[in-house]
Amino acid sequence: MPAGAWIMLGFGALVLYGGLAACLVIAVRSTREKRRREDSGA
Amino acid sequence: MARERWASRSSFVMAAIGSAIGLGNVWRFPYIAYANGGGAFFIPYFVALLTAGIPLLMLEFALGQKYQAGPVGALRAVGRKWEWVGWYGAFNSLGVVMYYSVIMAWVVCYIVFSLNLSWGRDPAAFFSDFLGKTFTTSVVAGVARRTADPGAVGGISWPVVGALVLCWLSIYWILSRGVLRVGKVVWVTVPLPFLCLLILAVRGLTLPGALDGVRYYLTPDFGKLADPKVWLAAYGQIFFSIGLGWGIMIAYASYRPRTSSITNNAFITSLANCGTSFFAGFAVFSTLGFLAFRSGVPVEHVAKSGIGLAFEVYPAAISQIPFLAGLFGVIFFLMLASLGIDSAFSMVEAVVAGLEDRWHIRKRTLTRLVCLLGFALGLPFCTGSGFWWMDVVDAWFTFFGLAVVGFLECVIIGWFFDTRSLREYISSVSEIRAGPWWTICIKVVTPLILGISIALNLYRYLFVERYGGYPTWALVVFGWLVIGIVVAASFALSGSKAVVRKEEA
Repeated sequence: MPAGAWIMLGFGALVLYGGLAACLVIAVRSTREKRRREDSGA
Repeated sequence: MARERWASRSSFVMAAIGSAIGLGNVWRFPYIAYANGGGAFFIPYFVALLTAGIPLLMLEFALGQKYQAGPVGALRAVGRKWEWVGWYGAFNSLGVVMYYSVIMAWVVCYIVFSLNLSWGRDPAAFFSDFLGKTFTTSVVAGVARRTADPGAVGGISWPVVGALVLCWLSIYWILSRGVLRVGKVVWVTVPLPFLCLLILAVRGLTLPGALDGVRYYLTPDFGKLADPKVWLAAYGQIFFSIGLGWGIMIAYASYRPRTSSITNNAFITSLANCGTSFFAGFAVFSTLGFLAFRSGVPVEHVAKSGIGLAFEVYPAAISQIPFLAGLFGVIFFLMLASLGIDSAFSMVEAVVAGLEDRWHIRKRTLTRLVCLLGFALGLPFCTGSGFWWMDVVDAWFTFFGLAVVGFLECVIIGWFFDTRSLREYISSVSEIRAGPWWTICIKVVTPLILGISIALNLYRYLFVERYGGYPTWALVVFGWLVIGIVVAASFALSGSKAVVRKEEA
């Protein structure tokens, strides 16, 4: 495969799966934080 | 009565992802990417995702969540005169699910056909016979040609009707216990197609000629980026793929508490949807590369999209797989079935949520009625001419149904509503703030692109060409008349007497 194809493969994977992973980390952290606050409030 | 709630945030996100990911992710995106610059297409695709897909999904999530109502109730809360847009969205869902369920019925039949590769050496002819497609034979310059004949109804395909009954019973069973059961079902129907895709991609990439196919999919042609059509294709793909303009995302978000995060859920849903499309390209193009290699033709000769890819080209490739071909056929069609089912029941949910918000009839009764109506409306598509009717109805719902609702949502919220207060609400509940970029996208970018796309299609199909070469009467009856009925019904219902909730009164 030409180099351009590999570059677009890396670019696409990085944006989509990197972006998704970052959003999931934010969501998990936020949910944990919320639970911690609820527990300490109770 | 208290509103239903998703069991958890993850159930909601899974359901939204399941609704967004459908058949188009597998049979449309890879071909669109290949035809519009290969790897270079990812650039306009990501721009469209960030400037139209995610902002509009945030808007739909925000409407449902803030007003705790489906598409009809949410648009009514924005302004009474806009309620018809909510109905328009809900009817789009009903209109699409009536033929989408028939495609699922074909898929169910093909799971069985895969067991002994019933399509034989000529899957295209088998598919045509299976549907009982109606043709007219004409002689042009001494050459006999077969052309679509949407006027000859032909016989009804009973195996398809049987499979259609099965599909609607499944949809009813899933929705009959509300979003709690939906939230459980999506934990099977969302990961299952990923697993199937993974198996197909691994098998596809190990076949001879596979890398040639992948090369067609990924090799960038940056020159194409100067073509506005490529950008419109990217925006169109993003818009239709995420499931915007159907009222589904509004309905799903309405079952979340008002204080739930919006922005991050929209990002997760959209990125998961696009990530699936991107990955599906490898499964599809590796197999196409193998088929081209075996047939001794270039990949562009076998590259197809849509129904042709799923029921003609892919079965041809499956037949050529040297070991356990039938098993890979079953996996492929099982993947399509599991991709389709959660999109199908989410469309029904959008209609049911609209009716429930307006008249407060028991949800189970409404679900039963909508399922029966959807089944009845799907029956004409089980006839010999159903395939042609489906082609026209699908095009019109896409061009003049979903796109118009998306455009209207942006214009209403962007220009006739307090956009700032909605943005502040989104930011106040979300993990990621909605900055001024969101307002710009909703006010300018998304409606501009959708407006251009609608205007171009309108001009094209009114003045330049007859869609699909069908006779004018077929386009009037199955295109314009169907959309006309949807618009008229939307206005009629928005003016009807509602059962108003106590808190509204």
